[in-house]
Amino acid sequence: MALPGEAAGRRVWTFQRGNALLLLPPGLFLIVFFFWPLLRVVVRSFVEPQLGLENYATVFGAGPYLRVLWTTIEVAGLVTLLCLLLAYPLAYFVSRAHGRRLKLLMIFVLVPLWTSVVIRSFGWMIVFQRQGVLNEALQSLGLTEAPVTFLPGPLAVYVGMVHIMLPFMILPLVASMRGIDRTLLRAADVLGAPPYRRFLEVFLPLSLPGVSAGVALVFMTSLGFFITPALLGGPRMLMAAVLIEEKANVQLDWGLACALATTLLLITTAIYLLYLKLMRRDASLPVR
Amino acid sequence: MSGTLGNRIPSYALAAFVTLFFAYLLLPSLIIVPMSFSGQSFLSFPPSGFSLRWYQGLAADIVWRSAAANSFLIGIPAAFIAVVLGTLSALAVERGALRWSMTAMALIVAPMMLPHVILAIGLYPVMLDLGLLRGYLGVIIGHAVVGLPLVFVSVSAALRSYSPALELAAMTCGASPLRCFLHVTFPMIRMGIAGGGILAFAASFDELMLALFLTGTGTRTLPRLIWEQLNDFLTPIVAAVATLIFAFSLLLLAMLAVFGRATRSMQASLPLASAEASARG
Amino acid sequence: MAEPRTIEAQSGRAAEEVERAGASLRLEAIEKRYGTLAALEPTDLEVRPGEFFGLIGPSGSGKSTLLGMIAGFVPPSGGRILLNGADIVGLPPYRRNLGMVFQNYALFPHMSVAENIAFPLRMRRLERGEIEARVARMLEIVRLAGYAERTPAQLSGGQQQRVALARAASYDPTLLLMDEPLGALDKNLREEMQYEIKRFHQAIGATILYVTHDQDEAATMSDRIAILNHGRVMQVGRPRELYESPASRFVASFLGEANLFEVAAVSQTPPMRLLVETKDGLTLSANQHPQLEADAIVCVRPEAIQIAKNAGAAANVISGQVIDVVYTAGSLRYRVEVAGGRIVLVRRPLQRQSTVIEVGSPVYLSWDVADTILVPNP
Repeated sequence: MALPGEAAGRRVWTFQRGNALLLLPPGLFLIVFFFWPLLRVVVRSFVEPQLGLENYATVFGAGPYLRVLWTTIEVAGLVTLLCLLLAYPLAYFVSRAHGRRLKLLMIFVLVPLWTSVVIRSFGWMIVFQRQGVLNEALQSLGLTEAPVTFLPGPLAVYVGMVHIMLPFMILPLVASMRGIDRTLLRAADVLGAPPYRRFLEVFLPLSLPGVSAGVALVFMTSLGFFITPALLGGPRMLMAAVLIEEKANVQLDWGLACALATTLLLITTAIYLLYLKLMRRDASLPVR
Repeated sequence: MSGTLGNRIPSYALAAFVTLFFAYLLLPSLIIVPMSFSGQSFLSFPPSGFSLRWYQGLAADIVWRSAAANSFLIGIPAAFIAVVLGTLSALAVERGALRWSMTAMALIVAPMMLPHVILAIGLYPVMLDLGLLRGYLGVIIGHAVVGLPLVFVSVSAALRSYSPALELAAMTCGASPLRCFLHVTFPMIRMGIAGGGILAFAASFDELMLALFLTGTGTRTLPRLIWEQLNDFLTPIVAAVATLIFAFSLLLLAMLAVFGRATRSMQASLPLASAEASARG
Repeated sequence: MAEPRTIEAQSGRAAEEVERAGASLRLEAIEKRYGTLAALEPTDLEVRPGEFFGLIGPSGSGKSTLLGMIAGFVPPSGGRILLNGADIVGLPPYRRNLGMVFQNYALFPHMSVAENIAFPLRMRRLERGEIEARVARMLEIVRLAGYAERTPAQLSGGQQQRVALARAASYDPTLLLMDEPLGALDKNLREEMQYEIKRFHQAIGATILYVTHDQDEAATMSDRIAILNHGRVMQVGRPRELYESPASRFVASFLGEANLFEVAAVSQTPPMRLLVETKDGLTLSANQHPQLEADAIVCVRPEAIQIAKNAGAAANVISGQVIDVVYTAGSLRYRVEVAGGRIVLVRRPLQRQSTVIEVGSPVYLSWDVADTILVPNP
């Protein structure tokens, strides 16, 4: 910005400099209460109960821990895929709405988002328990004779987690789709593309930035998820966060908990970096 | 677009899909409400009888009342700290001409992105060392950490919605940096601050993981109490709590919508940010 | 605006060739209503094969609506659109086989230049070899050979424009629609691109329907023009006809600058002359007009008026005082106050030896009989 006079120039410099200094208090706060604790977790994994890689040997060794990590990744991946498949058509529908209809649809997407996760998971418990909604429905329709045990189990976990994660996929998709220039679709029309080709060749590629951001977001969140798997999953679908909490709080095996946490941290950070890279490329999505 | 019949059939299918979809999204929230009025003492569906006894039980139960009180006692200060620090960081990143602003943003937003469980087991020893474990301050700080990014995103969006030339113009008119903030910056971003504050509060109110590690029996929050109850016994009293919380969060959402109207750019990022935060709990 | 100049385009094709390559377009009673609002009144229009046909008018005049109906984005409320004799109103856009260039070019950002141009060819399932050959040929025609692998983001505005042209014509459509294609370019680039488009027209021979709000541009490039206002076609004709014989006040003032005088009374003077008294109190000489109505307007173009310190011997002379002189590129623009407080605009070409008449000088404005244009005033 060109301001007349050197004095004004110096003022601009000072204004920006001054603002930059404002970063110190929050920066300090985060260093002490976020980065330092994370660092301690990592260090602790190598130090407790004694210095060495013992904890990692346990994690990656013969025991069930590797399996838990693998389950976590698997579940997170499948949840992400399901979310994408469900959210894409819905996001398309929402992105084409205008005015009040759009606001209404967005409210429908946001309300579940704002309901506490604990409460929503609880709701799914009621749905899936032996005297729950689903069993009642199945029995009254004559599809089953006795109550089926859905809880704890994979169906409940997937239904519950997809339910929680869907809005995280919908919102970036809608944002991205709304940013697609409608004239491009008209151009495709005039150039001779029938609707399905117009979708495949023009709309879909242009929505990919939103897709990748949504996928990264949902995957990252699913990896670290606690409540829903804990309530609906049971021991066979043990996920990392649940395991870590158990190790630390219940079994007091902090070294192992930290090792597991560090591994989870590494995976999540890798996805986070990928996410950042994707965000940089698409300016239409909210910058984080 | 000119619609031949071929174009319209997919439209109907889409509309049907959408309706089912929204039913799916709203199902668990809506189920809880009738459950809370159930006349029986175990959770079965459909609930039989109609009774307000669970709500009455809640009102009488000191444990639930103190948990609710704790949630507020923790949420409000945590939101406040998050607002102050989040606003400062937003000002620094958006107006500070940092060379590494993208990195700074990534680091500031990180607490929102990474699993809370990791932070929880990291903060536990830190709070232990500081003697803040099981008290209010420890968990307040923890919640402030995860609330900060929410405020940051909200206030950043507000800052980006107008040109920095406004502040420069104010200064050429003779306003000192402080007056510039009071008269120019703050009026422009106060909706963003308010929105971010509500989000930070909501995130704290719903947060489970940090509460599990950092609170004690006396400072137990609602999510933690619900969690303990869910694991031990399921009575409709939990449904009653859940319904109340549901109503409360709708209220918060409405408030957010009011604030969000002022800054349109927030609308995409905010709810997403908040929900992510609550999901990590 | 000076008298419309025509671009001397390279003669690429013989007249018969042009006719074969261009479609005939005929609009019959085509209209568009939104509720009670008429975006376009029932309109008849005919565009000849190979013609470069301009559509001009102010914002909201209906020209974009018209184009939208021909392209297929806007369903008409009534009427027929006959392309080479066949009604296309029922056809979706992707089956009409037209070419279209959009104002913002609408190049697919996720495809390269070559892929953009190839897109419509792929939609028509041409063979790969054929596609490559056509893409190469189009790139040659728009002189962007070598830019095939670039993405639109890497191109300048003018280059994007040319890619849009190439893409719109790569499948040899016989009718090309252009919706204010040069609106986003700066003046110099725009003139260069006007030339490019005319050259392009010569090279491919299609019929072109060109929408613009810039009447200079339309006049320069078009064989014929239709002027629209408030959803209605006011006049159709060659640019020169429209300029020299406007059929209404709107057309007279829309195209170029005009000094308009309201007529109070008309009387005949021999031989074959009319004496027109204006409401401002001036008396002007005009040629005999075949269908003169009392409620008419006199239009005198600023370029047709001579300005001098002495009265000349022309048929029309009025006296006045210069109140303003403005230099524009290539011409001097005078505002002269004449009898009755009326302001008359005069435009003279600016040459090195021109003497500028200063503000305040008493002057005489004179012009030929033929330059007193009588315009019906509907």
